[in-house]
Amino acid sequence: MPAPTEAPAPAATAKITRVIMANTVPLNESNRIWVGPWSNLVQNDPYGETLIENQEITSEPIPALAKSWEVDAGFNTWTFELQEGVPWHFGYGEFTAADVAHTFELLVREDSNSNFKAIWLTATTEIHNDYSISFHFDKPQLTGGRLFSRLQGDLVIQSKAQWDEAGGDDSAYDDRVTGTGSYQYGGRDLGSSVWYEKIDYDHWAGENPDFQELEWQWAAEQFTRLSALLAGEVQGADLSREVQVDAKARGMKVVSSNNENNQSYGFFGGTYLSTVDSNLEPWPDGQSPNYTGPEPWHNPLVREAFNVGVDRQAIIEEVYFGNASSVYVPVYAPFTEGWSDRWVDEFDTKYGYDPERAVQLLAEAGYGPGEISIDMISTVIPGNPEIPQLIQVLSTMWEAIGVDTNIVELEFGTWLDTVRDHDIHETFTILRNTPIRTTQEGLRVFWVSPPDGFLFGWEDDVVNEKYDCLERSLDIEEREQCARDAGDYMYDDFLTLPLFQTTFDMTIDPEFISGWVYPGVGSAHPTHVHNIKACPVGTERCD
Amino acid sequence: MQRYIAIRFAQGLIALLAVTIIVFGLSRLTGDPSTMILGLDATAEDYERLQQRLGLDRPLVVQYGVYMGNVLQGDLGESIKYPELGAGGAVIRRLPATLYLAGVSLLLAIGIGVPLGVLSAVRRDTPFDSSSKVLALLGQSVPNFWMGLMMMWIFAVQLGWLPTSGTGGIKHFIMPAITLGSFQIAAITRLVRSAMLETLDSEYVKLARIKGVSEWKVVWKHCLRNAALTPLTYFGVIAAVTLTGSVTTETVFNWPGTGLLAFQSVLSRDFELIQALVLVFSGIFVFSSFVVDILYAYLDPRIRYASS
Repeated sequence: MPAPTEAPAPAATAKITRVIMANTVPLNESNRIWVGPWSNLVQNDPYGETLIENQEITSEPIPALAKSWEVDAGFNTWTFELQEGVPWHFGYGEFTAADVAHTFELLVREDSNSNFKAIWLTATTEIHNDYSISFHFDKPQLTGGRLFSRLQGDLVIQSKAQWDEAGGDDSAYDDRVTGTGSYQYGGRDLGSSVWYEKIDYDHWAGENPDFQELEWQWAAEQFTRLSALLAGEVQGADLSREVQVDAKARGMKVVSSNNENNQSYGFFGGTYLSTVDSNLEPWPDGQSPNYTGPEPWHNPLVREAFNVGVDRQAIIEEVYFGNASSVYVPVYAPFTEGWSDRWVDEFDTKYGYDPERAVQLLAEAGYGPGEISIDMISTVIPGNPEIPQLIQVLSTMWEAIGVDTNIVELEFGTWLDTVRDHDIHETFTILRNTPIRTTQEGLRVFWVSPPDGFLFGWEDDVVNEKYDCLERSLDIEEREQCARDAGDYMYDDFLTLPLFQTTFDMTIDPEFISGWVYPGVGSAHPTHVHNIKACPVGTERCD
Repeated sequence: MQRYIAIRFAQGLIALLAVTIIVFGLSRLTGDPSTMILGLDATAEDYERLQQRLGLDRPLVVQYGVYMGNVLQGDLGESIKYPELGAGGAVIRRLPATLYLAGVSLLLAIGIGVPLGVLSAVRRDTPFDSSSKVLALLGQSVPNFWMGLMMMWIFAVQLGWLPTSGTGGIKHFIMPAITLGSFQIAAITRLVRSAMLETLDSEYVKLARIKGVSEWKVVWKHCLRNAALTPLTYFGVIAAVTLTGSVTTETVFNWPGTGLLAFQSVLSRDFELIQALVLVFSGIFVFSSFVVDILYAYLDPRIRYASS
């Protein structure tokens, strides 16, 4: 197990007491961790902590409120040994296993919208003593490293003592929620902001923020966030890459997550080709109920043509201003199961931009100019503001190889409904994967047929079979092979349009902030706020 | 007069009922809030569970019946965005910010629009009149979001005179109030100008001048009093539009009122909050129209006699 992080350097003398970050508005504004999706945790991150933390550089799981953990051979039971002597803010006593069990109970409430509720519902907890607790799962749980950490996990530990003091009322955390972080909850101005104060005693893990106060300020409009940053009203802002250029031209600095955490890729809609569901049960009529007949891109040649008809390098330069890298196979990254270097080595040859070859491939598939007509969904997914622009560029590139395209603008929720309703026949749509999931979870979310899958970007028997292997196998080598096979299949058969992988970025004012090291484990928000470093008094700028 | 008031009141109630049906139907047409609440990782089971909990698995008629039953008991429903407050509580919490902003912008509209309209009519076909007409045209044709962004860029970012957004002090009101009030200033200017032109041409004004009444009194007392009837009729609409039309301005300036709340609740598909907001907005609209109708009937006997 990796060693705990070293004790940080003493806090620098900041020029300002409160550092303010302008962020997009969360889905809900609440201290109740069970009511919102995990992306809302931006509000709980500064004061709340998880059992497992993610190392700030590598994102590897490291001890946090749990000083160690172990998993049984079947991956059914995860046992955590907890830190001792961790105080709750505002005098709510010491953190114990009862708090962990209590938080778990909150996430399985009937009205919980926990990101992993389905998984939590298959678990029970067992408290061994004040500093030891086990989670027992019905099925092997290989994704525990993520479930219990900030990397998609929503088990941000809540105080049982505070809950009990309020008589178990839902409002227990509304006014002044307690936590164990190096910042404590300060207050909330509904519709505008939420703020935190640095604790006035040593943090149990030695975190020592430079700023006395931290505020998230909500602003729906990007221009408003940019203006507030340039006017000096806030010291950091969540801005799209396009706007970052303007901000940088005016002296601002971009701090990126240490790891790319956002993959985007395009799905050729209507590819519901499975004859069995994801539990390998045959469909009653021998075909996915969502299959409505052959579509041009059921032919691999067409998919290949669409792929080689895209100049990815030009898009990286023009749309992402050079700040993106290529995705090779959706869901996969060098740190996920089944990754293959071959995909990188062969990418230029297989997927490289070649419009003439694209036209030729379409002709081989039996399609002349204008004989393929597709709708392209343009929507803004939070955290991926470039998608509408991407759609426009892709449309232009595909028009150039003889494909008729029609851009359809859809609001995010409507678009998501459409995907889940299996209503994207002859429709090209872009999905994103952030933070990058485990291979097994990624396959389940984006590729697998029901009942396990739900989004249904692509369904076929090969992927279902490989997913089933990952579902049942605990053998590392077998799992690696199954994951690799699925990736190879996606790659060689051009199942999707791999697009780009990006970091999460915050634009900061170097007059007040010198840097911010965070791994990139949040969804559309940065974490590790104790690492926001002040540009100290006496230094004009910290570029 | 009483019959007139009763009829107008009944019409207002019918309008509100119609609004609830339309908003309920339209918000359902936009899609399913479950997809927004649940992340991409959700399973089909999560989805079904949430549908049941939110009552979205029931027929629309039943959902509407439950909604109306609750509304009649003063319960505007739950809010996804503000679970602690509920839909009604969230609207009440955010309404004062909008009322302040709308109030200031209305004062601006009246304070600038009325004198400008009067002077423009008095100085008809002079450069002053032409300038005020151009100003009114701009006020009614320039989109207020664009105006807001430009003002923010010039006065906050470039000059640093005003805060970009949010609330805090008098300075925070200036740009949002001008942005929100620009259309109303233009509308009032034009209405007052045309009403004044008509009045200035009437026989009793000529008589007053012949009798030697001072020009100041003729214009600001006799003419304006009579010309005020037209803008007054429109004032109810202006007040309501200012309150309900604050969505763009509040979003641009991050003003934490009901307009911004409406924008955010649409994005998060917070159905019950959207319904509560529209119901409150409609109530304000219907109420201000009702007040103006009564005021109008009070000021103009022809109306109350005709209706009774």
